[in-house]
Amino acid sequence: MDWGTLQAVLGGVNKHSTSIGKIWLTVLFIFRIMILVVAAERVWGDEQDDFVCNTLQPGCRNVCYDHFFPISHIRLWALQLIFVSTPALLVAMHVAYTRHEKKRRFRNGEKIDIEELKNEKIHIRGPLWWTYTSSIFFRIVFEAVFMYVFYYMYDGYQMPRLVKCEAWPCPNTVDCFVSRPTEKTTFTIFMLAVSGICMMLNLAELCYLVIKICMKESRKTT
Amino acid sequence: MGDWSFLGDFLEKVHKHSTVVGKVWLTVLFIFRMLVLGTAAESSWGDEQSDFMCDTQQPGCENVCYDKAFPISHVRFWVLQIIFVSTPSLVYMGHAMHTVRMEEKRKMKEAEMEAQEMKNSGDTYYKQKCSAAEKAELSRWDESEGKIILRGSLLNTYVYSILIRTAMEVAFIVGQYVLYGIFLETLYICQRAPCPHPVNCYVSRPTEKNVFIVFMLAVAVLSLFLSLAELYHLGWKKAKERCSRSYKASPSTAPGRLESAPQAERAQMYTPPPDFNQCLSSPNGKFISPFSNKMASQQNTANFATERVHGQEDAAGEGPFIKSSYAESPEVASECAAPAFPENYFNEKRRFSKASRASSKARSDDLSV
Repeated sequence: MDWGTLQAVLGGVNKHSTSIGKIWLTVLFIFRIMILVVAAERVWGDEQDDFVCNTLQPGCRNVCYDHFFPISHIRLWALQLIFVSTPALLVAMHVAYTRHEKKRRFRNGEKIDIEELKNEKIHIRGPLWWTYTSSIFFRIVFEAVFMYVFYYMYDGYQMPRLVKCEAWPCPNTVDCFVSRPTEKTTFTIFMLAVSGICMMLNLAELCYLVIKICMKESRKTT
Repeated sequence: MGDWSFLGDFLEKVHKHSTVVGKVWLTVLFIFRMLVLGTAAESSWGDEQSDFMCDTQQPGCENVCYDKAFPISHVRFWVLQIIFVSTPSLVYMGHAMHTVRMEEKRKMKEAEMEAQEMKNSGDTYYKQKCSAAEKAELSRWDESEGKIILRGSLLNTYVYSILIRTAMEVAFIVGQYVLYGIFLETLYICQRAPCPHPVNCYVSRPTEKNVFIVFMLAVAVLSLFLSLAELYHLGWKKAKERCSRSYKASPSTAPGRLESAPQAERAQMYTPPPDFNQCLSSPNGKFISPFSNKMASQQNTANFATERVHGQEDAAGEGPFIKSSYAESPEVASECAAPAFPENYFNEKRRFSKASRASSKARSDDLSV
């Protein structure tokens, strides 16, 4: 899976983020994407090959695996990371649009601060503030949704060692054994913890932005 | 092979702003840990479960025995170790970048303020210069070299990051010992449901794995020693600095000095550029009293600058060893004096530096702007 493209896109967003946003991005890349690519994909690599059922019935193993793992953890995490990164693209688009507008107005002869146009940093205020804040809000929502989906789909965050399967064509209740359950549990809890940290960072950033704008407004009125 | 480029990119930046020992540590991390893990160890552990054989036909027995024998694979353990051990450096890097950004903002504000001051009266001019010069000393960004100078809170962050790194290293080494001991045995005897009785299980490639385990353990211990050496070096330098500073602080107080003692301390933390070493002869510039007229205040600035530089000169051998380099550019020379001068001041300054008791003869590259 090629995460380099995502890194290239989000790297651009990094310039226009707050400090907390930059920390969030670093945590995302190092503790989530990198762990996913370097470690977790290996752990889940043989999850179906080494899913062993105590039966000779052909097809039983396939059906049982499909019943207990409708969507693999790895794919869910990849989806989670993509959904969580997407709101940042909204911010990038807004910034690009703002810059494009400024250039157009400059070309039309209006007086624009050239230095600010050349200087790539754009401050988070006005409509950009709303875009940025709503992107953080959606990030939080997506994180929470995925954490719940994990919990709902796998009945908690622990990978069982033994699952009992009664799906057809298994002739009776069959014992099936999951591959590397302890290691999978370790990584599930690790990714959960990092999701929690990312959510905290997003909440902190949201509070920071809201407080900053409130202070600005109160300074204007006084 | 895993993709370490995400972490690698961040650590490249850290590499630029580290001490010498820090750079060695990072090189060890890159080459002996990341590269070895990515290329060799991964392929050695590649078939660890598929070739983990148990002497049983019982379905599921192999799975559970493998899970019991290896709760977390060595390779994943080392991946986590590398990430956790690198994280403190990233925190330091974040702080450094934040400091640099604050510096740039402050300099921009100062430039604006000075531009404003020039329009206003010159009475507050000297005060402005004082505070500007004061702040310049606190600067942690060496413009000419583009490197960070470690002092104050940044140095503390650096030290804490090394401490945490050391603690993580120890924790992971101990953790590895607790989980697996040092060597892997060829035979693992497993008793766990649904295995009907104690079953012999055979680990795949135990000797090759042992070689890598010992290698990674040795590199971890080496990294630990490097971190401890860096701590020792930093601690020793800091203690030496403090001793020399406390020695300097007593003779440097003069009556009517405009600058306070902490200023002198900060001055001595500054590592001077070599061209200023020859500037001075007497130990202390004599500030007689706060001046009200402009020419006298300029004299004062010259004295202050020379006194500060002399303080630096004494601390030259013991200044923060992390200082990137002595930049012999004119910009650095002008840093020793106040950053911006009105035009006539420059000429008068040359005259005064010849006449003043504190400064030595004006040199051609002195105060060049």
